[in-house]
Amino acid sequence: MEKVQNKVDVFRGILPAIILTFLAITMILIAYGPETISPVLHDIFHDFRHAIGIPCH
Amino acid sequence: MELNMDWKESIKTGAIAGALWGGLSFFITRFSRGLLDLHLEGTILQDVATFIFAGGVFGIVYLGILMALEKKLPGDSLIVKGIMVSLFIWGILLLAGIAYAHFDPGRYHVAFGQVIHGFILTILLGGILGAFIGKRKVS
Repeated sequence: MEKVQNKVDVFRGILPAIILTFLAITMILIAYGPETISPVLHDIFHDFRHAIGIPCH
Repeated sequence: MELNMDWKESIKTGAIAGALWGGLSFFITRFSRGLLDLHLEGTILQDVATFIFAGGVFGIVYLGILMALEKKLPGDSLIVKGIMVSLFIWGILLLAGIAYAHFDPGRYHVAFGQVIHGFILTILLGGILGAFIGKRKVS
């Protein structure tokens, strides 16, 4: 019972951070549009993606 | 042997182990890129930062899944279990990448040498994660 309560407390503790992160990401997507953000993310991690063998251009 | 690590400790351990793996992956990739016909586009500084950051993210996710599945996996060795989980997640990522290549072959393509490279790095990540949690809070 105590373990379950601890898990609930942990979840309640990190829930505001999860919601804030989600809203911040949504705000950035609204502001710039996903089509402008995805190429940047693609380029930033391009070399890493190739190194771990994930198909790329 | 039972893992006894809280979520804060597991995030910290995953981030440190993953960042270490990212750094090692960077060095390995710099030396092996000739064999892979891999043209790195980033500068050394940019690649060091992105490999360490991405490694840290991967480490946290992989370790979280390892912690969740640890009791259900066969065997006693945490390193072997880490490698199993690591290969499983990487396999899913690879399959999704192959699906991308299938639907958009003009943009994405599978490079066999890089897949082998990724396979070896994934085994390394699983081994590092297993070794890290083996040295931490295990009772």
